[in-house]
This record gives sequence, C-alpha cells and structure tokens, in this order.
Amino acid sequence: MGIADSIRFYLASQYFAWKTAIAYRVSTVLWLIYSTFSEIYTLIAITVIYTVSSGIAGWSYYQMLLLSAAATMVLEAIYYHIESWTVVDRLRSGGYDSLFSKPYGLATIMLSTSGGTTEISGFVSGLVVFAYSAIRLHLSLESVLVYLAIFGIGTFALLLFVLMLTALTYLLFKSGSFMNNLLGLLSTASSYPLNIYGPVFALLFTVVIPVGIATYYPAGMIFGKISLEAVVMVMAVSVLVGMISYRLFYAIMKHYSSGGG
Amino acid sequence: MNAGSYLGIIEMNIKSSLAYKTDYLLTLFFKFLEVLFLIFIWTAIYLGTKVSSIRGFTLPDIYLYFLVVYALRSLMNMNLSFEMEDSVLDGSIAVNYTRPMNFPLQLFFTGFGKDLLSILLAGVPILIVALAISHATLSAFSVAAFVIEVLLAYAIVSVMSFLVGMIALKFVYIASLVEMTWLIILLLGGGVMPLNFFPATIQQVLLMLPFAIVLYVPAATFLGMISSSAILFSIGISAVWLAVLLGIAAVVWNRARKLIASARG
Repeated sequence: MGIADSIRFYLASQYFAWKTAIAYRVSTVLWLIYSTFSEIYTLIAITVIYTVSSGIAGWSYYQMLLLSAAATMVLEAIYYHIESWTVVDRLRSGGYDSLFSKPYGLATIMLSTSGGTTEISGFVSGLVVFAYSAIRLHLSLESVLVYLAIFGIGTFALLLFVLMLTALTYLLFKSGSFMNNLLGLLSTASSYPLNIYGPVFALLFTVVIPVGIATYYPAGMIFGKISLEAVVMVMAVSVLVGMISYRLFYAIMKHYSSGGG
Repeated sequence: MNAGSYLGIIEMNIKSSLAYKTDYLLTLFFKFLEVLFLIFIWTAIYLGTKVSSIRGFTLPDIYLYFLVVYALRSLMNMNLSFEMEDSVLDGSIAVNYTRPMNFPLQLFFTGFGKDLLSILLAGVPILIVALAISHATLSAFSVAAFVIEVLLAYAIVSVMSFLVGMIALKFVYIASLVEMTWLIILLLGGGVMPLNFFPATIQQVLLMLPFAIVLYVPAATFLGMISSSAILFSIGISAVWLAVLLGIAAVVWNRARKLIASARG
C-alpha cells in the first residue's frame, strides 16, 4: 500500500471517529469544553504570574503566552492522534486485532484510530492564543510561517516518539499509567522555556523526550534567543528522533502478542 | 451495618492498590516531578524578578509551600467520581446498591482505602521532611488547626467528587467533568500558586470559596503564613461549605437513588 492509500485510510478513520463522537454528543461537548478549559487554565496562571512578578527573565508576557500556546497545540495534536493510555488498554485486550489485519502499516493504523477527536478544541484554543500573542508581538507572517514549519516537523517527530514509547510501555508495564503521567508532566514542562529546568532536563527534553524541538527552540529562534544554527541542528535532531522512533516502534511491535491470542 | 464491613472495604482497596505497585509508585513519582517542575518555574520567576519576596513569600517559602502542597495532593483527588463512573459503566452500581451498606459510605471508604497508602507513603513522610527543612516550631494551635483543615479538606473534596460522580448516572461518561473539576480545585485552591498571588479582590473571594481549604489554607498554616484569626475564619467557612455540600449531596443522592431503582425495574 502506498502513501495515498494510507492517507485515504487516515481520512476514513477520522470520518468514522467524528461520526462516533457525534453519536455521544453530550460527552463530546463536555470533552470539547474541557480541552478548551486547559488552555484557559494556563492563560490564567501565566497572567497571574506576570501580574505579581516580572515573570521569566528574558521572556515577556506575550512571548510566554505564545510559547505556552504552542505547547498546548503540540500536546493536543498528539492526543488527537494517539491517546497512549487507551492504546495500552486496547493492545492488552486485543482491541487492535481486526485493524492489524488490514493492509496498512501498524504506525498508520495506530495513529489513525487511536486519537481523541475532542482534543481539537484544545488545539484550536491554543491556536487562537498563539495568533493573538503573535499579533501583539508584531511578528511578521514570515516568522510565523517559519515557526509553524519547525513546529510541524518537531510535532511529527514527537508524535512518532510517543507512538514508540507507548508500544514500549505496553511491553514493559502493560499499563497506560506511565504515559498518562509522562504526557501530563510534558504539558507543564513544555509551557515554559527549557533553560529554566537546568542543563540536564533541557537536554532530556531536547533529545531523550523531544518536546522542546516543537516548542521552545522555534520560539527561541523567532525571539532571537537561539541562533539559527542551533535551530537547524535541533531540526536535524527532530528528523533523527522521528526516524529512530519509527524504526524502534516496528522493532518493539515484533514482540507484540495480542490479548486475543 | 457494623463498622467491620467498612473496614473490610478499606482493607480490600489497600490490597487492590498494592496489586498495581508499579502503577502506584510511578504515579507518586510523577506527582513529585510535577511539584519539582513548579519549583523550577518559580525559581526562574524569582530570579527573573530579582526580589527576595513576592506577596510575602520568599523563594524558600515557595519551595516549602509546594512541598506541603505535594504532601496534601497525595490525599486529595477525585477518585470517588471515577469509581462512580466505572460502577455505572460496568453495572456494578446495582450490585453495590443492594448490599446491606450505605452506598455513599461504601464509595467513600473505597476511596479512603486507596488514599490511605498515599497518605502513609507520601503525605506523612513529605510533611516530616518539610517540617525538618523549615525549622518551624509548630504551636499546638497550628498542629490542631492543620489537622482539622486537612480533615475538612478531605471531606469537602470527597463530597465534591461524589457530587460530580452522581452526574455519571445521567450521562455515564464524566471523565471530562472530573478532570475539569480537579483543574478548578488546583487553580482556585492554591495548587498552582499561593492564593496571595491573585489580585486582592479575587483573593478575598477565593478565601470564601470551598477550594481554599483544600491546599492553600493548610499549607499556609503549616508555614505559619496565615494569622490565627484567618485560620479560624477559614475553618468556619469550610465547615459551612461542608454542611452545604453534604446537604446538596443528600438531596442529589435521594433523587439518584430513585433513578437506580427505576432502572432496575
């Protein structure tokens, strides 16, 4: 099967997921509100912080808003495609068995059928705050497009990384709790500049758990805090992380044996 | 029904928590990391602002504040709501309801059984560490006030969790509401920052709400950052809130109980 077939499968899966979401209207509306609320929550926290203090050194209020909005967008984009904790449960109970028999790659199947559709509202609210902050910062369209390009590559790399780690978690713990907790932590950590966590955590969130490559580094570049060379290097790391994660995912899935036998 | 039955529920849930040791320890570890990251963030804010104190809190105060908040968060949670959702989803609510025990109490002791390990493994040790680091000499009044506040907070969060859980009887899937309620409790209860950091008017309003007692008031009492009169006021307000919430819970439960009965035919 080629890329075109995979895209068709992805779109068909999205259509099905949205039909299912509409069938559970009340629950869907509540989740949509919750996803939006998460962004509002961060917005309030940052606003209060900048009201009582000068905030993070070198980062203005709107720069921080933009960074946290980008972090929300990354995490929500990931949740939209893969809700790790439910994936682990489905793997354990053989919930993917019939899907895995389809003639598509395992990564395509899992990323097409394992997400939370309602996370879209979190992504949209993040995008609104991002756009508002960019306007207040008088960012040029060119800068925003460069940011979004790097952001896109970084998010895709992180998505593949989360997919691989979810499979590994299944293999090691047979529980989604680890991923649930880890992604919750990343949500907090990536909303702020990585340099405040010290060199060890900054490196951890760049190479080992590459959340910074989609949020901190592109933001640092357009605000002139990080050199272009550093960003190019980070992009190379993104591609590398994506490729390694993809390969590792398939290597891990070779050890998968379904709960369904 | 004798107390032994409820003790049985507590024992069963302790065993059940121990059966998922890795999950349990990982969750505690990540909760700790979450607080560690808050400390990183606030350190950067203090260093960036170049002041020794923000709204009466020095940087060491903030460290201690979040340490105490971590200890308190190990026992404050919305487990009852999730228990309720699960029992509606798998139908066990009907079986539990027919047991010769008060259903809300069954639910409460189920949650308490699960929380007991967290209290013993995380809450108490962290409080001891916080006490050792702070070199604070707690007066008998502070200790008594802290214990009362924590008990009130636990009761308030449990009743809130129960009330949100009741919604499952109508809508079944309530995880979004549960998460949203928890975020509200964290934000308005001092889990993200001490309530002193909010503008004065908002702060006054927040201190009148039932969220303040959950994290902020006990943490501030522990650190000696709140006056005796303010402590007594918070305890009084929280007791009133608890009574109001219990009243609402009783009304809601009486109606919900009829719903369960009619569903069973």
